[in-house]
Amino acid sequence: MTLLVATLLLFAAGPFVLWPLLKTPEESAV
Amino acid sequence: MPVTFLYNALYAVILAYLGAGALLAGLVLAAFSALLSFWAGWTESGVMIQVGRRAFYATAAMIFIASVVLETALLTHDFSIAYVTEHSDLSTPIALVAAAFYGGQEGSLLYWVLILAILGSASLLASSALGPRLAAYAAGVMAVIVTFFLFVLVLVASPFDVLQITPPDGLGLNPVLRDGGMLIHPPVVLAGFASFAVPFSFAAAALLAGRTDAAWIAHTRRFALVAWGLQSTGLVLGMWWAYHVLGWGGYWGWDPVENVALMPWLATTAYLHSSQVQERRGRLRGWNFGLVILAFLLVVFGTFIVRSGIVPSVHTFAVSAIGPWFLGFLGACLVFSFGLLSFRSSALKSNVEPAPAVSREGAFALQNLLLIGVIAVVFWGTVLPLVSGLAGQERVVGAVYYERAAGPLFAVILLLLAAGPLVPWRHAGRPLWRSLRWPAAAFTVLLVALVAAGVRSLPALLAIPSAFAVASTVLYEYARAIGRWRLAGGGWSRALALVARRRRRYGAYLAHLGLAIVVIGLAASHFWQQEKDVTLQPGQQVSVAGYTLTYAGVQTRELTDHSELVAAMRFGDQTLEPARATYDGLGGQSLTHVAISSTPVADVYVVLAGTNGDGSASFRVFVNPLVSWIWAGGAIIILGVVLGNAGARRAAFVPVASRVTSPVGAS
Repeated sequence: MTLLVATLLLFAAGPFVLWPLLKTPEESAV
Repeated sequence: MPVTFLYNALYAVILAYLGAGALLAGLVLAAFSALLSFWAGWTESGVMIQVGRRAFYATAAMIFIASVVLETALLTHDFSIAYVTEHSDLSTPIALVAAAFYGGQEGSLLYWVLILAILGSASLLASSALGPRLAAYAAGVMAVIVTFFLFVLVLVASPFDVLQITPPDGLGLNPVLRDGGMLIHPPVVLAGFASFAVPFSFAAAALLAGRTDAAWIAHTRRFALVAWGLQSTGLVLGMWWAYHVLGWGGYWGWDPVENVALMPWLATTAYLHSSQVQERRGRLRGWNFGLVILAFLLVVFGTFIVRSGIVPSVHTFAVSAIGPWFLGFLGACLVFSFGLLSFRSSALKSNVEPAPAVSREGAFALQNLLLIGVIAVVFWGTVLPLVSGLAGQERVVGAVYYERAAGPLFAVILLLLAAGPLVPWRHAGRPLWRSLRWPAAAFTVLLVALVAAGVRSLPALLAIPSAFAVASTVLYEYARAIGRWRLAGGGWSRALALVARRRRRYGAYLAHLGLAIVVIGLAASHFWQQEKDVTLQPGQQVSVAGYTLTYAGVQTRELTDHSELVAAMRFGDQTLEPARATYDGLGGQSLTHVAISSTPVADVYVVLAGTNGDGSASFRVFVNPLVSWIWAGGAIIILGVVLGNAGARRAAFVPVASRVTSPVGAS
């Protein structure tokens, strides 16, 4: 159960943490 | 009813698993942040540095979620969680239930890492001027520290362990902790301890990145000041609490727990002064790194001492099995720090010509050596039981050892505090001797007055005149600054505006003034405390140091979580009520409640020792001169630090080190 909650939280944190990589090159240029 | 039961059971399970899950997710993110930050810093990959930093912020968010969950579990009396059962109960006032968050081992570790994560995130957000590489390494070092704490919280001492059977009520908080002081002292002291990790991380990162110029100091100094300010507040609050709660008439017992809180404070005091030498003159580079690292190592060492219970202490409620983990962490930090310092030793050599002994640099160097001397005295006194125990016979030292060994060092530090601010940088000439006449006059006047009043104790004859000399130096500096600017034609408002502009300097002087007041309070209450043990029948009187108290009688009071046996003492138009509290819910544990009548001149401090069948009661009455000066002086120190640094984004003066060595901010 703890593992499941941790996985869900990590999944939710993904977009925030990985945002510099998720940004498209065009957007970073702007 | 079954629905409610099911709801409660589900709620408890969800809370516990949400908390434990957040800690586990935090552990994964912190380890990820550490590895990625070091790698990205090494390869100077801008995008990956940002990802590593964001992983640190996300770790902070996970720790925050876990903290909110634990606080919610406490406030909703969720006794299915072992931590809630062990540290709270239904009868404890709700504010103290909330404070149970940091009242136990696991919760205090969670609180610690929460503060580190918040301050660490703030320091990373403010680190843009340092360059990506240094900031990445700092994030990496902080993430490693957070990883260690989360590892302990997840695998060794989890605050979210669930009990097999949910009890109807908890065991409650230790009676000593059931006091208003519990709401302020532990959180400030723990925050102080946690905050030392931030300057350490930036110092280690600067060494890793090979950036030994003064740039890291400008950034680190602010967070070192935060740590120092929190620790100063924590120490004063700890003294205040011990004085008001423990009932032995004093405020500092040289207990190992007090000692380990004092040592990093002393090391950071040294750093806050020596860092100016590097900013101004480009000297003491390696020394400054060493002091910041020493302060953090002392914090880890202190945590090990307190948590392992390896030396006898009054803070036995903090003992647990996590000691060996902290010993391992201390060992790793020692190897890492010394390895780093020796690796960069050639870059830490100063290339500036030596300063003459009588100069501001010389005064700071001497003050630093004396503070290190005090740390050594306190360190060896603290670890003596451990070292002597290994040799076969455990020995413990008391207050006499500390006073004899550290007293002379403190006396010289005080004299230096009076003279140092008047000594110019680089060299001293005739103007120095002229300006020293004020502290010298203050010292002499007080010395003569005390001798004339019949004082013959050498420590008292040194401490009090020295404290007045320190105060006169501060007042002389303020008067000189305002006078000079007024003479320049600016008037009062312009003079005050200029003082405000150089607030870092004048804030520091205010802290010196606060310290002088604290020293006067410490000296007077230490050297001139009077006490008397008496047994009185109702209506009988006792006189101590000219203060007369009349015993009025005894009565019993029932309160929510305990009962009190109150012995009323009439003192002038006041009624003092020393009492003995008994906690039936905690197996009849009892605790003394002190009654204090405080004035700026002296505190009358009454402890109820016991009551007898014939209606008489036994008391210990203390008269403690000038104790309130300690609390007032402590407040002035904090005010000086806050006023001197609030809103100051950079040093108020231009660092001349830039002219002497490499430019500030250069890599």
